[in-house]
Amino acid sequence: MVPIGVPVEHVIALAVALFVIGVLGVLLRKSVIVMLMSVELMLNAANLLFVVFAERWGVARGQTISFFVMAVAAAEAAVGLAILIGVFRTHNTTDVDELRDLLEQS
Amino acid sequence: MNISDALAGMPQILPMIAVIVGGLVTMLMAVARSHKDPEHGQLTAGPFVAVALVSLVFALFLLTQIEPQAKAVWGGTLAIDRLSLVGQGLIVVIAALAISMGAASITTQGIVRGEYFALSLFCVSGMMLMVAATELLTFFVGLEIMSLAVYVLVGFRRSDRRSQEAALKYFLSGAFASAFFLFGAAMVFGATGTTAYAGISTSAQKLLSGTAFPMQTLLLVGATLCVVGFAFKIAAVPFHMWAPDAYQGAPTMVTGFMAVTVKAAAFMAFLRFVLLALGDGSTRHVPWIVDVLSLLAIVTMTLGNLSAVLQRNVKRMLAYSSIAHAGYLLVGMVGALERGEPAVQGLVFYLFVYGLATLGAFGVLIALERKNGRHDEMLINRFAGVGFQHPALGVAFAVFMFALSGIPPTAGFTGKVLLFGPALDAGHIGLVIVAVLNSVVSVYYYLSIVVYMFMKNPPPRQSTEPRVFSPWLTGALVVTTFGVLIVGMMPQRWIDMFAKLV
Repeated sequence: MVPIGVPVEHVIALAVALFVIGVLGVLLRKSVIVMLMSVELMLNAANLLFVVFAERWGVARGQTISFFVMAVAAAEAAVGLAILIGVFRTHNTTDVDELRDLLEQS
Repeated sequence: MNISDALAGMPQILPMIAVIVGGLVTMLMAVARSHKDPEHGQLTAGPFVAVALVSLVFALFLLTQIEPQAKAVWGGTLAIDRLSLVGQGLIVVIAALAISMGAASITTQGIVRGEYFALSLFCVSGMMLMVAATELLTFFVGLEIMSLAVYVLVGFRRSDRRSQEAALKYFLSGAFASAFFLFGAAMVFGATGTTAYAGISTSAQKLLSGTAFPMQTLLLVGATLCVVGFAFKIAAVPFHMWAPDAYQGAPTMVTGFMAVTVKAAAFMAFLRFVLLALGDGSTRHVPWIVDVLSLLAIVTMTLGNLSAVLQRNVKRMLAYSSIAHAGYLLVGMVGALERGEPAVQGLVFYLFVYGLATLGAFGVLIALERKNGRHDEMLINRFAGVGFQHPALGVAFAVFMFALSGIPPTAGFTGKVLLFGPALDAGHIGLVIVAVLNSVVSVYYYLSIVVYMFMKNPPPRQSTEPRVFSPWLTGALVVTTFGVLIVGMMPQRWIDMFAKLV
């Protein structure tokens, strides 16, 4: 049923692995740029899952969704980088651990 | 779906289109203004507020003209049932009040850009889509339209360190949560072959009654990840860490806006997902979802309230209070799962009351902010004696605090009765007892601000910068104050109205 010649299970395993790498990246890394890349990785893992399941069920909906997700991911990256530039201008750092103004103040 | 279906569905999305058009007009106005006045020095909020209010009021009018339908429109992606119409109306009303309040501080708080109004309106259109969505992708797109606009709004004070920090933290955790939701949605799609709630519900019933091992697990893991995504957006413990920072760092007018509308939209979408995708309205395919939600409710209420007690910054305290309210609303959701229709009415009624009271409280904070105010002006001891200097604001703030803690005769009391009642009926006595005890704890920190305002002497040296007043803000405060009182004193009329609507 799957014309790509790769077993569905393998693709699912790849998607889950990408997602876990993304989660770990967001949780463990301190540079905001790497965290942003990790979020993109998570979104793309979801995309891969949508596409492979669309193949499996033989419906086009999964493929369509992946296009929407790409557009959303692009918008998210644009907004994220703009916010990051704002942070860099005011704090001179892209390290999340150094952003502590809100905690110290209260 | 085909072209004629799309045309037939057009009137149902006109309210959203009206809001988007309003957003586009304000965006163009902002550009035109920046041509004339490159310094942005003298931006007057009046025309922007007027356009925004006209589009919101028009959207509300259109919403009242739509007949509720049992069947989802747009190829099964949008529900035009009463919950959807009332939910959209609620968001539009609250957003109109919030935007009026923001007009006062747009020039004084260094937010001299008309894009504020455009972003707020786009955000509202995303929320309306979220509330109506009966399909995972539609919900996701609405969620992102809302979230991306709110991230930018939180960071709207470009030169302010705290505002930027808050925006980044909110963005990172929000994007993280969206990715969780999306991955969960992909798994649900994989298990059921569809993303429409109705289809998911039928497949789930089949899958979960049988013992189809891989698919069943896929569905449950996917649904759990989706619930995690929702829990992030409503700021339920343990997914709440973004809320205090985002609420505190954001400009006060944005905090008021997001504390109410984001929570209301996410909650109604969550309710729809749990009721329609993981059940079919009256039955539940996943029996333990009630236990999960009860646990989430207990942890959220308790941690939210206990943390709020410790705060010295009023904005941060209100952030924890909104976390606690997410817990109360989850109690209502447990009731809605057990009792259906009347409990949903109670939930929407409480969202309305919570919205009025929270927005009003932030409105008072906006009115008390000084021009180019420093951040420590939100510390609780700065509120000493304010009740004597500004009696009207002090009394209004006290009314909102009474409402949030659920003391009669304010609407907060009626709201809590309607919210907790169904859960009690369904036998969740322990849960309701925890909720009521939590309300008692919350009285401590709500009233401590009132005590500072009316029972302490003002500090000897005070900033001489004028406070912010504007007719828009005054009007919105009058509406919220009397709203809370009138709904509280004549509850039956309003309950009947909501019963008819929802």
